[in-house]
Amino acid sequence: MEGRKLIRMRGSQHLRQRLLLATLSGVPIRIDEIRAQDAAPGLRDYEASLLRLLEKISNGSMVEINETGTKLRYKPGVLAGGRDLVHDCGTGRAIGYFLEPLILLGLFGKTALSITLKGVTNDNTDPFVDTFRTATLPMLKHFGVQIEDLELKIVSRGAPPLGGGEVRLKVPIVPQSLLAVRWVDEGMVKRVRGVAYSTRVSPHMSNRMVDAARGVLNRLLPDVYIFTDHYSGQESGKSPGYGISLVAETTSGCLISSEAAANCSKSEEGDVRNDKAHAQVLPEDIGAQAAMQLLEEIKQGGVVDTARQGLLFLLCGLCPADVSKVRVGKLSPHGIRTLRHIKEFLGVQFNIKPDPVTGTVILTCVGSGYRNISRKLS
Amino acid sequence: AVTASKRRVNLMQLVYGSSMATLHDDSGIDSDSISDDEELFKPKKMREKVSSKVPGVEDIDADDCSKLHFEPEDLNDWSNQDVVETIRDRFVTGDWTKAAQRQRGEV
Repeated sequence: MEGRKLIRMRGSQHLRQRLLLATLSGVPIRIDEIRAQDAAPGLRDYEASLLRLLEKISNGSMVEINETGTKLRYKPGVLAGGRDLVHDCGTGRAIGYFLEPLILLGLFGKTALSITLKGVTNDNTDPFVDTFRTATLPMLKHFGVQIEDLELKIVSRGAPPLGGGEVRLKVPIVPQSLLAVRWVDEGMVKRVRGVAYSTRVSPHMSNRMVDAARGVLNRLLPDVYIFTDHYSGQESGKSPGYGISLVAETTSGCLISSEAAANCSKSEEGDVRNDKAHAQVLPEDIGAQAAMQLLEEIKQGGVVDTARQGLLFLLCGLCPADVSKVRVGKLSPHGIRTLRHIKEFLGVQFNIKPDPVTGTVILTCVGSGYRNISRKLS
Repeated sequence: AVTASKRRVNLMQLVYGSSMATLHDDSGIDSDSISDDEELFKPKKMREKVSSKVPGVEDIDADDCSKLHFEPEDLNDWSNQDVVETIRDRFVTGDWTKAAQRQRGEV
């Protein structure tokens, strides 16, 4: 790793990953011009919440924010992990926003992490907690993580805007380092599994979503089973909502996912949630949409779906100094920014080669040789 | 073969840019003062147009989202059975030989 003193960056883009990589590499960062041109400049509440979460799971970190929130200085501490921590994520972003960086922060901590996260469990902006559990966590197995010790339990659901959901996450540490991968075989889709949930609406919404999704998927595959998950009372949070998460499993162990949530209430101004298109949709539309997105992901190819490209590249970059090789469909803007960050913070540059036969992209790199340093530092 | 290698350069360039391009990279470290001067005299909208190669990547305040939002027009017409059949061989209900060929990089 490079002996950087400080990295300077601009804007609010990709804030989570910048904080994550600063923490893992131990390099302080300074970010200026955060939404400087915006009508509401500076950091958002959910970003401040993320910084508080970082402080909870590390020792000795320092955060400095200027008056308008447009400048941030972050000096990372040592990742400590922690038992039975609790964090209220707020409602500005869903719990998935926090889970994405948290998984890597937990893996490289001094001790295992167990934490309760409260807030919104499902929306269209961030990964559903369901899909995080069924499609994201299993990815880690390929990189040598003991996934029996990885756990995400959905205690209660919470739809936007008021949330009220709760999950419990357990992450073991990587004692030394990850294992480099050669993961290019997509396999063939053998079955689709999923969850249709509803909160504070008729449970019949879930059945309608399932029927619509099956209507699309059964044309290609008989083995489609979508579990209907209806929470009631306190476990159904504070707002009405419903949605569906789908995961296609392949013969080579890949998991391709899609999800869609109905927006049952208006977005607030300044809300990142891009729900305007979903204002008056029917459960049938939600079910069909998720199914069609799944087919779209399968058509694009890759060993993971679009939303998981970033994590896939990060994991490769954090491997020992061995060669990793992976295949994805089309590179997303988030994926591209991730690749740049990995070069910036870890000094790892991928070789990126399109595969014209399949329309996919093959990425190869030599890992940074990252090791769990938190264990050695007090 | 020429097209393939041309595309390959484009992807590497798209992601990492040429070595000179780090001066204008939004996450650049040493060149902040230089790029600041550049932007000082350009209205924000124009600056974004000039620097934007991939929508969303160059916007310094772009939303921090890993999910790609599919507009209906971005999707193929999956209600059409012919379109559905184009991915038949990605499923176990399709032609396994074709699937194996895909993995070997053959047509």
